[in-house]
Amino acid sequence: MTSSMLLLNLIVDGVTLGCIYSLIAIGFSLLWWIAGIVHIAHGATMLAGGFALFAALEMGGAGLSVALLAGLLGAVALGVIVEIFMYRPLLNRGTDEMGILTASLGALIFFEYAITIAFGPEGATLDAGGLRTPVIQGLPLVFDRFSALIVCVTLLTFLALWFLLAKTQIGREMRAIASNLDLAEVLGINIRLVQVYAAAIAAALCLPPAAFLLFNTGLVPSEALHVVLVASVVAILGGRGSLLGALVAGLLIGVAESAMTWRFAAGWRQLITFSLLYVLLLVRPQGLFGERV
Amino acid sequence: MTMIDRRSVVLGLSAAPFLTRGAVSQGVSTTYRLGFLMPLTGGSGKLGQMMLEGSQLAVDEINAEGSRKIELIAEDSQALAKNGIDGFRKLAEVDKVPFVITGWTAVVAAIAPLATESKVYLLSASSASPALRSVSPYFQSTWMFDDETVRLILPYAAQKLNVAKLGLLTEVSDLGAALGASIKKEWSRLGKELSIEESFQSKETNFRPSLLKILATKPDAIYNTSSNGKLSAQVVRQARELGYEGIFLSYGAFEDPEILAIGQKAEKCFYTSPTFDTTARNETTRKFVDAFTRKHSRPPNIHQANHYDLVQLFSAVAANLAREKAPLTGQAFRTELTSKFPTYDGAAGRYRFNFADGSVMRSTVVKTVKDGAFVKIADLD
Repeated sequence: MTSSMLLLNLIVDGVTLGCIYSLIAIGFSLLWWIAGIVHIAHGATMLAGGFALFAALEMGGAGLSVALLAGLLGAVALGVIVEIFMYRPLLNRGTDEMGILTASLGALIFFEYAITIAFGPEGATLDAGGLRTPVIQGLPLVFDRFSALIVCVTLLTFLALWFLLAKTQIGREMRAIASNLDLAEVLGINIRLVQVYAAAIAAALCLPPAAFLLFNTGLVPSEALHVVLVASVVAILGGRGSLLGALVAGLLIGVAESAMTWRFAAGWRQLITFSLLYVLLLVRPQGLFGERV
Repeated sequence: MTMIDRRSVVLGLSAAPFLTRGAVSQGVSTTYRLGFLMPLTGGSGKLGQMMLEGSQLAVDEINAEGSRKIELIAEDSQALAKNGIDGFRKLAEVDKVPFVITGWTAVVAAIAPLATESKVYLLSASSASPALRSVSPYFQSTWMFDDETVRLILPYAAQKLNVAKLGLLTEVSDLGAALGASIKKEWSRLGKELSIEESFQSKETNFRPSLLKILATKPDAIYNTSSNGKLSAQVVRQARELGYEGIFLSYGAFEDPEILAIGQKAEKCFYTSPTFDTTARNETTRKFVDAFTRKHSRPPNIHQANHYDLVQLFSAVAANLAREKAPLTGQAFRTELTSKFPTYDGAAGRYRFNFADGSVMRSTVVKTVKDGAFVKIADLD
């Protein structure tokens, strides 16, 4: 394999990784934008979805569609529980952003421990089996059907979310709340209910990346904080409330992390993530597609 | 994760009825406390649990005989230095054990100075790094260091597996660095080409970029230095998913249930292991294999045999000291072991100790994965 072919393969692999990053980030970004919550517990929500999927498949012997439904229910249930029983009471008491962030971090640690106790610290990995065959046989390009599935699901998820926000009543209400909370309340929007919907949607968006990680590098409970760190970097890079920003930032980080191994040791990959964030914060603090406040 | 990390299990209690009977009929008055500081959870947890089964069987047998009573006190290191230090301090300072069975390079390297200071003797059947040579006068390995096993498997790979180009995947760890250096030196001595060396962090789960880089050099084999079974399984699985059909080389830590969990993808992996034959006719091995099979309804593996031997060796040294009416301290144990036990014949074969640097020599074989099992394919010495 030539050096340029290696670089191309690393970029292609980085696109797949970036898609997973974007999917992880979009739910985090949604709650940050609509409810103003730095949703650190997002990492736990993703793990809940992934491990519910794993339990249904491996322990329950369910088919993939039933297991995906179980994963969806697991993630949404946890997301809504955190919203109703933790964020809402704290917000009603006037807890500031730092207080909410700390509480969210506490929730992340609590659920990480719970998942560790239930499934063990080793985590879970499943084999993607036949999906790991190349899309086109005989090419030196490493792009298999599993990677193609990740790219397709990512694009469809972002399109569906765009449609929901731009074309539906609940989406318009979400945007109204994100734009001006007081005005939205005056207009009669049920803020509380819409924010619960937002939490449910953010949690549901955890399922695709959880499933992809489960069948790819595996899900490990202690990775919850790392997951949410990546999500927050992508959300900040992309710009608050920007769907396109989250997609582009995720891809940018994924490709940068992967491509840098072309010339440097892979052990230094994550350095690139935070270097990118630092440079962007210097030159464009509102993020790639965010609006300057 | 304190609740999991600090899990402490006091073992040997299941043998209580035997202990009571032995104590009455043979006048047992001393309980020997034995530390077991190994990964019981985490990526190496399954392997550590497996090793515990071997040690526990030896404890049960000794306690059932009634002449001595052993209490095995287990602490979970998770193969992490920090947890290892916490566990060692608890064993040495709270439980007051004179002797600890331990393993994994990071843990041994971290606790060796503490063992020297507190004169607690460390025995290990699961530390492969040559960096541990002479790490402490209170440390002895019963597992060959990997500069020795590298000198055995690399010529085998070159001659029998026709490996001309070797890729090296090194874990960023004490063991990884020492093993990587040994491999490069030996491969160069054989006049062969090292196509590439790539490294990865010990918490990495995505090896695809590193593997893509290695595969671009078209190696005949990849030597993986990880001592973590789960990581090794991930490396092999992800390489196969990228279309790599070549050989993987490794060492004894590769014999981990996590490897078998990836099924056929684990085939064409070759690693060194001390000789251990479950069908051997000598009495010690046969007795161990029979007892283990009876208890667990499956035959034992090399790790279980090694850890059975550690407890039996401890018991033999302790018995000598008891006959000499000497107290069982770490210092006395060391003196007795180094003066009276230059070799030891256990269930896993003969151990030839080099007390000058804490190493050991054992007969070694090459094993591979075939039909969902680890199988021997050749003797190396």
